[in-house]
Amino acid sequence: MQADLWKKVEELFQAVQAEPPDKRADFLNQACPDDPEVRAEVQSLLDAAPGAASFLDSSPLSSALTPGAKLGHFEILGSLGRGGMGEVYRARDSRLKREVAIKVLPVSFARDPDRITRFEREARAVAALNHPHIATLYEVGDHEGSPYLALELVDGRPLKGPLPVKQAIEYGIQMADALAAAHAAGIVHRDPKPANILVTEKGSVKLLDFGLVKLAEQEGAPAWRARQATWHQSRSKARRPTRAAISSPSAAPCTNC
Amino acid sequence: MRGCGGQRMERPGHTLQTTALVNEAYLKLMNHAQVDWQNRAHFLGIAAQLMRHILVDHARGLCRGKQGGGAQHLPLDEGLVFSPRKSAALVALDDALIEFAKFDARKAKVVELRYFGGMSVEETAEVLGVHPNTVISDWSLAKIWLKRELSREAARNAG
Repeated sequence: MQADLWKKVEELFQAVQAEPPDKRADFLNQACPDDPEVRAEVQSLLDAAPGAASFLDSSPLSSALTPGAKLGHFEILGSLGRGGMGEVYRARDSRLKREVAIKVLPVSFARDPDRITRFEREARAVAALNHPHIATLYEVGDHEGSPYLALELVDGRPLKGPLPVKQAIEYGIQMADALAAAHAAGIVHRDPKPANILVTEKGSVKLLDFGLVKLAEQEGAPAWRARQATWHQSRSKARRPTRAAISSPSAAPCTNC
Repeated sequence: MRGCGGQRMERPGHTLQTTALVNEAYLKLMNHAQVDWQNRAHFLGIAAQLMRHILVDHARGLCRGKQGGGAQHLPLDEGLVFSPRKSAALVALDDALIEFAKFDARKAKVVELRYFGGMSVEETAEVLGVHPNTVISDWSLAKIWLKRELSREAARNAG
């Protein structure tokens, strides 16, 4: 495209856009009877115009999904915030007609096939867990090369202390029950902090981010994460969880957190 | 770069999420200390250009399968690690913009300032020394042209 040709194209384009749609063809015929190249260019720009207004709308930095975006058979309704593993969204399963939580994992995952394999293997193990106090993992999917999880949408608030002893014990029992079931299946939570423990209106505890947090950690994660990981490792020597690993998380509701 | 001169630098929805990116841009800007900053407009124009280079270099590096070269290594940060599709889209956009600049430099600059620099219509008008209405019509036509080019490119790659 030459600069002077482009100038003609631009002038004509602005002019024809001012015309009502049904008059445009005539206008173009009259405006450039001898210039098929210009006419063709203007026409093709007119054809490309619908939808162009929202083009380049989002910043190159933003990778957030907006309401209405579709991930497979899920439709994003809104953001629920940022979890330990990445963005969390509220979404609707168009097939089963229910709301779910969608977690989109960091894109850095997509670059490491080993991580993807390990992640999927553990996701399958977690998906097989079916426990009233564990947020169920429904499905794993792929969005632009990055895995996402469809999870049970828990309507509750993060565990917050201090708690009356009786309630702390009750929650502790629920959590120990959940952890025992998971451990029996060879899954360790590894990040049982209060933010990962929701309490529903009915007073039922739900554990989130089960068994997947460790895998979602990136290389070169901040130092405090490394310290936390070592702390957990020192509590449970082998891969199979010991009593120590089980008893430490259930201390969570009892502390002044 | 945030809150430059107390004015709103960013378009709504365009948030500079990653401090790493801002830091790197700042460092590069400071390395240009010999440059005599003529005025705010000059500074903003350069800043947007830098943002574009940083983002596109990063995307090109990711497309090549490794981090972009250079002494300064950007730490892996969620906001900066683009999906493969996004990296490719950013590279395609940059290529198209380079072509566009050959016959309409001003519109290409508008896109650089608005999209990569996140600037408002008023700020863009200030940098380019034109009326805001000019920015609006430039932006509109530039997007149409780019959208058309990118879909043609996509069709070529698919075939």
